[in-house]
Amino acid sequence: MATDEALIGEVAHGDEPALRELLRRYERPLSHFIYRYTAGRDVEDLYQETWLRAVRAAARFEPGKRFSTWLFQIAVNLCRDWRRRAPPEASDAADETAGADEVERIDAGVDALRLLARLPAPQREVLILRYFQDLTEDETAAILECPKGTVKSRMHQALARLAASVREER
Amino acid sequence: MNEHPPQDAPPAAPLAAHAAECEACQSAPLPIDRIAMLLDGAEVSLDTTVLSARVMVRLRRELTLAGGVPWRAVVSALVRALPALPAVVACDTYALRTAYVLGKAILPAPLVAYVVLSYGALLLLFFGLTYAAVPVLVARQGPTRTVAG
Repeated sequence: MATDEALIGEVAHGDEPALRELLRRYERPLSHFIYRYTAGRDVEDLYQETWLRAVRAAARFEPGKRFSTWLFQIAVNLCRDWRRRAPPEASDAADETAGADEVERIDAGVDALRLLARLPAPQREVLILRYFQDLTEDETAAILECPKGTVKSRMHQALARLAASVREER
Repeated sequence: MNEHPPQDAPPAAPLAAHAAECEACQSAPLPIDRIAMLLDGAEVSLDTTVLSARVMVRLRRELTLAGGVPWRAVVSALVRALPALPAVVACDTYALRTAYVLGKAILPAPLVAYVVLSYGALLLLFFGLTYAAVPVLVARQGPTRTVAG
């Protein structure tokens, strides 16, 4: 199986199957990262823009670098830019036609997304990458271009904020 | 992450691992299980396959640009277009000569020559533009090979 780094090299030469394979490998983690970052808003635009930038910059991809780190760096930067532009109100993803149980389940999901959205961006980034994407502290630090210690402290701050929310619920 | 790209199944392990390592968490323990339950509620309702299919349509053009000019396709298109050129030129030459002969019977020769030569020059320009458009059209079409998957 070709590595991600080999595939992005092929993409730089206009290879469509290589790009399809990269999309297949990363469609879920990348789109879910964006979804959780933006609480489900403008996901398609940001997802598309991330891949567009990746394809445009494919020829400049440094061979020593990890593709996943590079791709998520692009996504993080785009999400940060989006956050500066986007209106603050979070979208309501609950389906009006859903049944009561379904609505309750969706509400729980939306509440969790809203809580995530309320976290300061640096804490949210760390929490999503560490918890949902299951990345190590080193990988997270590489994506966010910050020291490992910063990842640790942001993770703690994020958890402390969420713990306060949990206590409020009680 | 090469062989195993980041998966989306959220394990509570990163939280537990953090709590075990973090001095602040140890001095004031956090309700990790409750937080994990809360985070697990952050479900994503997204059809990633449809999303990728839409994005792929847009990416195809970028991919063509990234790959540079597809010279093989350009040469192949030109080779297919060139054999018709002599026949078209011969037909037009015959038509122009006939027009000149017929025109000379009713109009002064210099005027007919002017009209016929102008028309001939215009035709040459059109031919040039048509063949120059071949590489542009090939590049806009994108990769010509079929892609599996």
